[in-house]
Amino acid sequence: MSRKKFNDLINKKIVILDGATGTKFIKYGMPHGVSPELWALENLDVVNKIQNAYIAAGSDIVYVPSFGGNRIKLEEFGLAGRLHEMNSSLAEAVKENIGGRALAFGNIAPTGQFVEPFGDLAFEDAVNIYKEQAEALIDGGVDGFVIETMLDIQETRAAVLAVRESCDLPLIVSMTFDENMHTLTGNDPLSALITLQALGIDAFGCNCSTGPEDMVKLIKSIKPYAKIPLLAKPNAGMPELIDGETVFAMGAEEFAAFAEPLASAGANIIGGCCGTTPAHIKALAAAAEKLKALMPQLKAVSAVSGPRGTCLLGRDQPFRVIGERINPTGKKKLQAELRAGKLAMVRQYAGEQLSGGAAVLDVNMGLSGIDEKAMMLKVVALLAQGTTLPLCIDSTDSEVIEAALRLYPGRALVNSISAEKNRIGKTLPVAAKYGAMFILLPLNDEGIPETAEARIEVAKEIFAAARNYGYEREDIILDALLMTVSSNQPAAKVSLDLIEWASREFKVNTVCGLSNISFGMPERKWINAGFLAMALGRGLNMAIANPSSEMLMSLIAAGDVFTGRDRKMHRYLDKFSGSEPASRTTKKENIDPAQRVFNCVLEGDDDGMAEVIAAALAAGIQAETLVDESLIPAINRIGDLYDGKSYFLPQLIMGADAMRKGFELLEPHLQDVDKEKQAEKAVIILATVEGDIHDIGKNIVALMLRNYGFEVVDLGKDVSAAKIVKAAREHKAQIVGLSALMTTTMIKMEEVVKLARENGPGDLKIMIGGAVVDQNYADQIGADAYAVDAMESVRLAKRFTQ
Amino acid sequence: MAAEINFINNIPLPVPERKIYRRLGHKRHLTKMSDGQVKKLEAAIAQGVSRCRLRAVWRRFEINKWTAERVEFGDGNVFASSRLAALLEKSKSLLLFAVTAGAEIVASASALAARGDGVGALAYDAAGSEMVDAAAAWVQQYLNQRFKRGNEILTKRRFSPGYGDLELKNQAVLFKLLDIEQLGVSLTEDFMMIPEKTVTAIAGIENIN
Repeated sequence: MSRKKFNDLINKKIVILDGATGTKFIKYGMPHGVSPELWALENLDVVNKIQNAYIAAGSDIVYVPSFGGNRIKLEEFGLAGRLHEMNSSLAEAVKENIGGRALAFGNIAPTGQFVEPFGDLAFEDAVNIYKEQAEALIDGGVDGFVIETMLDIQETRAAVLAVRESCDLPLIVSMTFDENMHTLTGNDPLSALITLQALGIDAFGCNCSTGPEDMVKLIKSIKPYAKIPLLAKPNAGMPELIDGETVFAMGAEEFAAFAEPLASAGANIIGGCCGTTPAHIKALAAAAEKLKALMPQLKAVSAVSGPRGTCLLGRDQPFRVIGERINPTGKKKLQAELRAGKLAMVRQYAGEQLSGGAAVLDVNMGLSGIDEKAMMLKVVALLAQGTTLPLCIDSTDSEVIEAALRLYPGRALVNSISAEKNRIGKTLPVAAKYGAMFILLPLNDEGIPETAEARIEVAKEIFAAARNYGYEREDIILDALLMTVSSNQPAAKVSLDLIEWASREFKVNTVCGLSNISFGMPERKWINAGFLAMALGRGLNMAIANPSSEMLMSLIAAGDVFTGRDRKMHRYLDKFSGSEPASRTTKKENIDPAQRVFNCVLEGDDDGMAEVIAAALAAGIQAETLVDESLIPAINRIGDLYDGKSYFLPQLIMGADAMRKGFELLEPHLQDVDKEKQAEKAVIILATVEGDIHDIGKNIVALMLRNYGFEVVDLGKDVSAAKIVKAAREHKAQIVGLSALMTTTMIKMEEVVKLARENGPGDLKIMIGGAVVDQNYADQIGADAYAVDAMESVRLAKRFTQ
Repeated sequence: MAAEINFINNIPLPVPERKIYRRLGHKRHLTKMSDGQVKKLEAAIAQGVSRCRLRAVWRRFEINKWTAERVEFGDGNVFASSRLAALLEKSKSLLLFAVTAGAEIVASASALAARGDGVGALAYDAAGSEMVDAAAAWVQQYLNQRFKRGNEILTKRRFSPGYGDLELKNQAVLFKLLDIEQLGVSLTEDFMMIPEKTVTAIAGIENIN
């Protein structure tokens, strides 16, 4: 069947799929632990019976029972050698039985392994494994393909590419999303739709895992972004425990009642999964007969996606910043790291740009002395797992771009395609194959045209070529080609005119590499900001820039208010509603220096402590005053905030760290008497008891006690009672703190207490802590106190040593 | 009857960020953090997450004999626990599995604590704990999907040695049957698992009718 005919069928009616098949086999006697594909082949009468019942019920398409017919699954049963024969025979048998009464779609499903970059199975291996199965099913004469019950976008991509590289038959894909609308590997339906429809599938949707109610919500959520038909193949509700038995309880009529909500939500193809029977499909088909499906309204979607997130682009969307920092040009430290094969800075830049507000991350690995393709693949693999932002693949080499697009588990943006022979001839077909969006660079082999008019001609030429590959205006982003204003002042106006034409007349997204404009100028930020403000007014909706610039991001937020991209100004208000009005903002340097020390502790800003202490001392404030009136009150305030639950443990520790840093800095300035006082530190022994290896809680208590001036002897974990008591004697300890996390090890605390009472220092106090102990247990074993957390242990230690 | 041991060498898990914050004591409507504090903590959590290497091993066994006090499975293995037996009452088979976040996250958390970086140590510890918990839930969900094709479903709850009346010493049974050492995990004489960010579990496999 051709893809066009398939599309015609969908245009005519709501297409009905079959219902559950695998579970039917079990009802017809398939034993556990056998290959369902082999059992089906040996029991074709059962297969025929089930499929005849579904066709009689109204199924337009039935699935060939080849679900686990890939090499990896068949190998589990020692059947890999029969892969071609089994798949093609099953397809032939189904085709022969149905005799044109319905369509037979070859069924492809998960291998059970995870594909790189998320798993061990190499992506090309996965493609080849699926290709092998697809080719066998094609030989068996299937009318089309279904890739179903997929848990992971990358494995799905491998299967889609395998089918697309093997034939031009109709291909529908359904993934399994839970009630929170995520696959097991965290893929969301919108990102999956954007990624897969760009790869050229003919319908997308969901099967298994949930009942029809959840699928209505899912279909509705992605319909506005679908340029292809959507499908839903729900279970007969969720499995329920009824009279001690687990069952799919939803009856046929109740199931069929969801035909209307599914169609209204936008489903064009419907059927049933686990727990459904021919009766369910019959009722569903009857209900669907009276319904009209909503056909996809879009020809193209301006969006890029990653495995766990989508970025929508366009005039009704916010201004988008493509983070520019993952690019070694001009960054010596990053260059050195990349040359050493390290990616820590790439990871750091990705995190910082996400926090800064980037919507897409540009990745450029062009650097002499490294293998650009290998490094690009390494970074793409890292970022596919390490960020939720979609990627922009930035290279002049079409081979690098192809390798990256093939591996990237999303719909990427290509930076860039110009009218240069090499780019338009090589990169464009590659971008089209993977359905990537691209940045259109209006230059050609003769260079950058000087006038806006000449650039417009080049842009039109590139777009015409792209149209031949199926590209629409929504799929491209025109680069305004910013030239540095220091050497070519009039060029800024040319770029602004080009932006205006592209956004108002040509109606495409527009972008610029913002920092290009200010090379060679002093105070570049003003030039960048000035140009950006003017370009926003002309319709610019994206920039390649550094999102860590607060001024830039604030200007963009304001710009979105004026351009109407921020409807009702919600985002602007969210961003700034907590800020003080500018006129009332107190400048940092105007705050009292002692107050700045106090604030520094309260904020847990240990890095800033040196500066504020130096400023306070320079202002003539005595070190003793800073300790008594800034550091101590601040840490007490933090204790209060912690008790009131406005602060949580990390903030408590940050504050204590900052206070310790403050003490260290002030220590040389303190009078001798204070130093003597400091020298008389109470000694506390800490240990996790014998048999227990958990020590994070004890370590945090140690840090806090040290920050509060106690001398802590940390004996570590799995420490015997004898060792603890011996240490208490040797160090003349005033307190022993014991930790245990397990009920099986907390009993060792009692041993320590007994031994300490017999052989330890006479006035020794013992406090205990840990997830499994409490005050009652402390009382029971004769400990002096129970500390619920690190803060409480500090309070107890203070009390015991006063 | 016992099926073969299956390893999953990389669990592709979304970061359970909210749960990590909750484990650290963050209260959504009460806790207030400055931008600097958020940045510092987020960076530490991200670093911690990147040091987790989530791996799992699983194996299914036929249940040979069930009583209200004990369950016999595979080749003469026994779990003596009335609470586990109650969980497995409807099961024909049982699933054993183990998940670890690996040694690096634990060693890095200890190294940070030793350096006096309490926030880092705490963030790493919380990230490791939540990642391994989420990975255990993931394995259960993944296998549930897999078993559903055979008309089977996993019990919603899972059990572990040390829960209720199933003694901790049963960790040794899971270690032997799952060959958990291949995940780089060892068992102490007191049945503690090293690295500590490791969980073992038992669940029932029931038929769907």
